[in-house]
Amino acid sequence: MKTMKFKDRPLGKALTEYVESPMAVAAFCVVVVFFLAAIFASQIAPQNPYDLATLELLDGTLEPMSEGFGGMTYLLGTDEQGRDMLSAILYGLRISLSVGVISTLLAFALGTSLGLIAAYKGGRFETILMRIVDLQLSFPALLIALVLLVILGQGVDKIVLALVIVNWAYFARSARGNAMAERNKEYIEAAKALRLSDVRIIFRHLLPNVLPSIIVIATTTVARAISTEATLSFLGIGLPITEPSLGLLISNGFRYLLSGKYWISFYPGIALVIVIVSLNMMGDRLRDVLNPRLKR
Amino acid sequence: MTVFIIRRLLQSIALILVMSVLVFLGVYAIGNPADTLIAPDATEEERTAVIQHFGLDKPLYAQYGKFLSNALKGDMGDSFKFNEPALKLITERIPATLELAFAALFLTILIGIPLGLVAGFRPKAFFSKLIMGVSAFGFSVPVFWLGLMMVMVFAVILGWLPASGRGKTVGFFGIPVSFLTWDGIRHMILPAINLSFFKLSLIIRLTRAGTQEVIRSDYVKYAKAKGLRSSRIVLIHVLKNTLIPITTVLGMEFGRTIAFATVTETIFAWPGMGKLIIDSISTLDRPVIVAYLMMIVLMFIMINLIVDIIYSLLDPRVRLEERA
Repeated sequence: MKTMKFKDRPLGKALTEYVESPMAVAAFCVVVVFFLAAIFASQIAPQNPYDLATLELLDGTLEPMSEGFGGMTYLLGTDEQGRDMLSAILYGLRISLSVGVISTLLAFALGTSLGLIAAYKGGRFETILMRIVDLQLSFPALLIALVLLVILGQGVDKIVLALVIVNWAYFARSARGNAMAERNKEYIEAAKALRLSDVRIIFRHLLPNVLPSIIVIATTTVARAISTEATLSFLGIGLPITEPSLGLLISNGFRYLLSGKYWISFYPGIALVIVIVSLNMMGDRLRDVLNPRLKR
Repeated sequence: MTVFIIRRLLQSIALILVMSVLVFLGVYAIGNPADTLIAPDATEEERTAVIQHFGLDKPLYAQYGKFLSNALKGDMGDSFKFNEPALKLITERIPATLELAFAALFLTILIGIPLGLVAGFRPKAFFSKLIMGVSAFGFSVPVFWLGLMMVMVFAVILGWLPASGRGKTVGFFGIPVSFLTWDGIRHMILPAINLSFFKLSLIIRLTRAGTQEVIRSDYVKYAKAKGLRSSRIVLIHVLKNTLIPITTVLGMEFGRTIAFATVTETIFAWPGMGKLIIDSISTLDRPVIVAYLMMIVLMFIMINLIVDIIYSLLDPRVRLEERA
């Protein structure tokens, strides 16, 4: 293995193939830029949109590119409180992306573990788990999240919890499905013969072999989680007003959209769509690259 | 066969009971209903009288029993806000939601299948690539964002179509409907397209994949060799065989349509049950929330049951698997 060149190793091979699609590379770059913008929002934003001292009420609902009283140019206009929309979008991106990523990582950990254990152990546990997964996947995700939020109430922690409950089943189904094909292979038998512990076999031997297909699901799940959060926040049952994600910004601007002040809703919406479409394009390419059935 | 249906029926009833417990516990865990029902300046006697009247002093299982027996009689309590039976409020709004959902489904079939056929027959043509691009876009874009853009472009900027409400309705067997008046249809166009967009993208892909599979089959080659007109080959040989998976998916998509109707109805102020539930959540109108959740659970379990039974009729292997 050590003498193999990077591009011949599985990871290197996948990366070389991924780079062959210019669209996929562009999507990856866009996602990286958006993540960096979200992380460094407080450094690059022209103003702190939630520091009331810096807001100028007289600058309310200014059009894009207009100059305010303080001499500041608002590239994407302002909302009714004189808040610079570009800054609000950067801060909103931070909330939307963290909700999407954190909920996906938790769903990934929970769903994959349960799916792998089910495939490895089999028996009653597997039957019951897969029944729950099938049952849950027969209901639309938006509806389950809506019901959960009605019960749980608003808040970042609550929407993350709701998204984990909605999304774990996708990981469980995929992990179990892929592990089923692996569990009878010789290397697992060999590991069993060596009397390695179950935990070690599941996480050191099974997991790496089902990981590629689960990474694909994780990418699209981040996109779906961001979209679901935005939808719920738009409906007024997702995040509270103190955590203005992109969805809440769009919701806030909806009233002004009808009177022609489009920018309050329009630009956060564009940011949201660019993130979601780029993530999905990455997911599509990864699926092509990592799916062994599509090879040759 | 009968055994299979009875078994699935029993499973469904058990599931409805489990869900009713979950909804009951969940919604009642939000807070003490006595606080919302009793005025803050009520005396201690009035408080106890109200609590006794609603049975809130009884143990939880007794309260659940009462809730269940009332629910079976069709009594889900009165709305706090409208002072009317919650179930009545919801059933009044079902026709509007169903009308919108069927309009969306109709558009999906009317537009999606022909576009999918074209993309399947001429995969290399520019038009086909355009269709597939739009379909990929429709797959990932959030429904609510698309709705907002439609309002912005067609209602605000161009002013072609109205952005909210249901328009003029007329009675159709006693049910108010929009699709029989010109004003109603104008109101319905934007929300129906909005609600159908995701399904449209899905159906285009399915039809395209099905078409590409079928045109390679021997019977289509044979039909061509016989010298049949291509319109006949498309309509009889190809379309008929791609319709099977499309019907299944559309059946299952119906549930999603009802779920996403909440989003579309909120944007276009369409007076259906989706808008009612969002309004009820913001005003904490608990009986309406509980009644809506139970209705939705019931509806979904019924849809799943029907799909399963149809499946077992179409495909005997499903029944054999159940028995094993």
